[in-house]
Amino acid sequence: MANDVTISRRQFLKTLGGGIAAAAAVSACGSGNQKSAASKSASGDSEGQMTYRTDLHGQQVSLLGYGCMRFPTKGGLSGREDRNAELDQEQINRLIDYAIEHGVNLFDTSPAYCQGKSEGALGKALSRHNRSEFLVSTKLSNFANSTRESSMAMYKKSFQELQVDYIDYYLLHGIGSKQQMQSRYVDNGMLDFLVGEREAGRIRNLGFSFHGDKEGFDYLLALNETYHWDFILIQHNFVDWNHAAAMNSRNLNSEYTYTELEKRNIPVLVMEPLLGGRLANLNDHATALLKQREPDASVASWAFRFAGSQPRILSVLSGMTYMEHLQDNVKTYSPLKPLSDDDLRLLAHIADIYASFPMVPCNTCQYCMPCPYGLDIPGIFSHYNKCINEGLVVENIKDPEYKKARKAFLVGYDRSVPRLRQANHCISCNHCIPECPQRINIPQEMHRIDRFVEALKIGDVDLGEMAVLASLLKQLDAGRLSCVISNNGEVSTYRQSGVQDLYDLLSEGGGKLKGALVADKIIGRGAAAMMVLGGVKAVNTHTISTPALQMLRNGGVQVYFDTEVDYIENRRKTGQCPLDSRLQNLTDPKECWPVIQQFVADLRAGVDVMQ
Amino acid sequence: MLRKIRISLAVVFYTLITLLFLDFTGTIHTYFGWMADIQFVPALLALNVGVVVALLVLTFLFGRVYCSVICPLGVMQDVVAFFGKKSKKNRYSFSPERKWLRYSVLVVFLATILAPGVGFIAHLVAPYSAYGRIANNLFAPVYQFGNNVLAYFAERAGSYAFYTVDVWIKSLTTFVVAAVTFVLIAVLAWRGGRTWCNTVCPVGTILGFFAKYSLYKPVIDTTKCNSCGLCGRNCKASCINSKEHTIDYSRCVACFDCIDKCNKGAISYKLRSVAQPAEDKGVDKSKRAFLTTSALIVAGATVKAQEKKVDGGLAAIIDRQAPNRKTALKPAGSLSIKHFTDHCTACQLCVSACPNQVLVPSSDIEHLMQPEMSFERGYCRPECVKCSTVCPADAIKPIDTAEKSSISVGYAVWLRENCVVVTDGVSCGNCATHCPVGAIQMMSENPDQYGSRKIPVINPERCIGCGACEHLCPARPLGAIYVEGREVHKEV
Repeated sequence: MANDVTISRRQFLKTLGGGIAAAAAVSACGSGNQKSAASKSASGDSEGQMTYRTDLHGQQVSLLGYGCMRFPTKGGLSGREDRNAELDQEQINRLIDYAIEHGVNLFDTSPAYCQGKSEGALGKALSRHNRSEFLVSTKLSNFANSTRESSMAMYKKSFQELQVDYIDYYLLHGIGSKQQMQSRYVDNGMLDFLVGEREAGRIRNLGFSFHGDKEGFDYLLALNETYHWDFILIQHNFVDWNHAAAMNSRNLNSEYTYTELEKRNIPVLVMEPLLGGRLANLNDHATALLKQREPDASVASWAFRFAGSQPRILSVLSGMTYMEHLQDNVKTYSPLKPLSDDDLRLLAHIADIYASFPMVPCNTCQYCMPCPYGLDIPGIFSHYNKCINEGLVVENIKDPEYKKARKAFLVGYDRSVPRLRQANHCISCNHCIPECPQRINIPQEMHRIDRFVEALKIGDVDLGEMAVLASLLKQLDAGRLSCVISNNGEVSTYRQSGVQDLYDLLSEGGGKLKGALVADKIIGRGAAAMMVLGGVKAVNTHTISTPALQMLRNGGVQVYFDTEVDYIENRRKTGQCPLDSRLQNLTDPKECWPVIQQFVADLRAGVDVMQ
Repeated sequence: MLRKIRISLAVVFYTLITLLFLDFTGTIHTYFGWMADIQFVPALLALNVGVVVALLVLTFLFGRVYCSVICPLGVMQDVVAFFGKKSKKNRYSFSPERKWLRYSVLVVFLATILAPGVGFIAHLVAPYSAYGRIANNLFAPVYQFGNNVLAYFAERAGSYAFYTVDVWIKSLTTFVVAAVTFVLIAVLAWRGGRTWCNTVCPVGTILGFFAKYSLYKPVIDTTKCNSCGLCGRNCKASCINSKEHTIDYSRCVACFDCIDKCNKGAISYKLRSVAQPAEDKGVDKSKRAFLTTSALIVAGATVKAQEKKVDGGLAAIIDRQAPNRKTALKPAGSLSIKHFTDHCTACQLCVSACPNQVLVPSSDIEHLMQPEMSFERGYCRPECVKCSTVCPADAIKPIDTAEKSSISVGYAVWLRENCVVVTDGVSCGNCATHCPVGAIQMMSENPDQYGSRKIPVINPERCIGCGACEHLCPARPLGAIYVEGREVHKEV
């Protein structure tokens, strides 16, 4: 493990080292032929000029791009916090004016942002400026309805809303797999249409925003031969650089995505430089480390310097609600001060700390909303993450901080999420799962948080135990293991298929199972019987069959699970699992044991147990 | 001096008892819960012989100090009267006792207090529960609003010292009753001091018997008295006939105002010369006397507090409609509906104390204003037994969480036609997931077919009726699972 970290840090430094030199060069030449935009501001700001990068067509693009997903509302909050309120057009105008005045020229929006009000608000603000002063970027956000008609209507409407006759950067919004690409853009002919629009000059640059895994990314990159992507929008920041996949096995590290794009000379737009603001609000330890190094620099500025470091990065999009954020970000990139090797090492260290926290990787983008059952999904995750960050998720009841943290967590929970919208109302309808660009298994996380809240409220449940069980299951998923067992803090992992690991442990005397905490993928009658016989204390599993659940509960084993099924299917999904069917009418674990012994003996003797 | 002692004690009692109803955190109750227990009617209903005897002995010794110090409704009248006296000095005058009214109210009170269906008439005039309703319905919202203001600032200051609570009308009927009682008593107190206590209050009448013969009482020394009449015009009980130099001790609430007022020092509080024990009026025995009374129908539609917050980002949550329970749900510890109805004085202390907003006053005429359980805003959480610890009338007997987990106050019933598994075709199981006793299992609708949708199956023998399933059921406005009450609670 320690070795892994060193290697990744070395790569981290190596890859970035070269990049920074190039970036500095680009920024130097960029500021040479600057328009007077930045120098115009004689308002006494102590900053220099905005750093610019160049796209495939020679257009100068400000390194800071204005993301319009979090425009302010009249309530003075962002659309995220106050979803009732109207957008505050006056304030938006002020923000856009300030941005343009200080050299920002890229504005990125989508028909989906701010409940569909973002494009219009941006259009109004920009219409007060000369078309040559800004570049506008929007997307084909045909998530809900991807027919040709409605996609076409969405495309046309963007022009009206933005009050422009050409769009500088147009994106296929949020794709990560061949299947998504096909169903939303290829089958309906929209991609061919958009390529035609690019030829006609109504789209200056065509690209897509990416959320997905390696397979999907490679497929989409291969399409470059056909479609010639002018740019690609990826999620990139100092945590995702090396830790995106570790935090969620369904995501891809930006080190990989960026490097692949650089190889192909495709300009890169960056989203989530702050991970939905989470990297601007690090825990005390990390904040102290950064402030120690540069007392006057904001925490966010470090993340921006990192995100902008690489030479092929065209612009870093940041959703800015408040003037202070805009001013701070403008300052960070006017001009970009490259990170030293020491700085990079520090950020790598902070990324390690960050990734070790059990946060939910939610960036509050709202795509999962509205939840049909009324939950405030991003609100719940934000609260949970905030509490983890502030050290308010104290899982040991004996911890002196427990009482205080418990109150803060519960009071804060009711404050940030109305009771009827809290995690205990999630019924796992799974409506949200395909919507999440971060590919979070939302219902699973909801149940985890619900169990945590419930334990806090009841006050006598072993939270430490629950935390261990949650981390064991995470370990199981990440390592594609068959079983993970923790006994008195000693964790063992297993990879054999089926029930064989449990069988071996139990035949050896079952010492490892006595009082153990177990994470398993699927639990049927066989596994349940052996866990009861071995004296397992608690188990956390993805899938469990109803009879197994009953057997475990009757055996006094605490069970946490995601899905309950009637019985366990066999590997070919043609019927019931052979062991499960052999144990069909048995409810007493003791009676099951000889049957299991016979089954494993058959299996190991090469008998086709499926017969 | 005596008056100052009386006022200080009264302030202490009044403040703390009021706080019992206002403090939703339960802290005050830990230390001062006994102040509710020593109230007369709750003690009577709890068959708390010790307290009843002690109060009677107290009255027999010192007169109606209960009325001037312990009874919150009495002290509240003094507070109102204090301002009344400010606006007009020497405003009271002697009036003869309205015996007819006093005794008929007492008879009605005793006749109805345990009679089925009309108990609410007794509760209407019982002083402590009348005050409880006023505090719970009128004062608590103000207190909570103040708390919410503090919580607002605490939230902005990043402090968790205060948290926001919902301010809502739990039952319109009870709210109206409380408001009418308050206005009526306040007007009477403003104009005539303790008119209510001496013409209506049944506890005042009962204690009056004993006060008549109390050992210590204020006595007018006719040798010093110059018949100025100042005492009579300042007697809030209107019981001093200064012309005749007599005091009606059955109405005197031992406030000692007259002693302070008399500038000749003619009135003193002293041991009376001839001590004759009061004869037993046998009030307790007459409790079950019958009286046919046509029930006063308190009209008032129950309006559900609307709390809709609709916007684009969040799906609208339709308000949950309360199910139509055949048998009302009473909290664990109340043994049975009968036990609860017989003992509860409808003081709303448990309603104030319930942190999960489960207890609400009933609008049903038979149990009017007495609390019942309802799960629209929360459910009866396993770690909480607050209502059982606060009840002064023993209507809810004290239980611990372990006992609570084995008392079944009701059982869940599944309504197939509302279940989202059936109506929306989604998988659910929220009821089973949150059942604290494992009384609900998700079973295949069709056992022969793998992966057929799972519907909840309830084991009513295991169900304790906590309402977790009902509250957390996603079906709205009518839930797909609800708890039906049990007449007699049972062990599981």
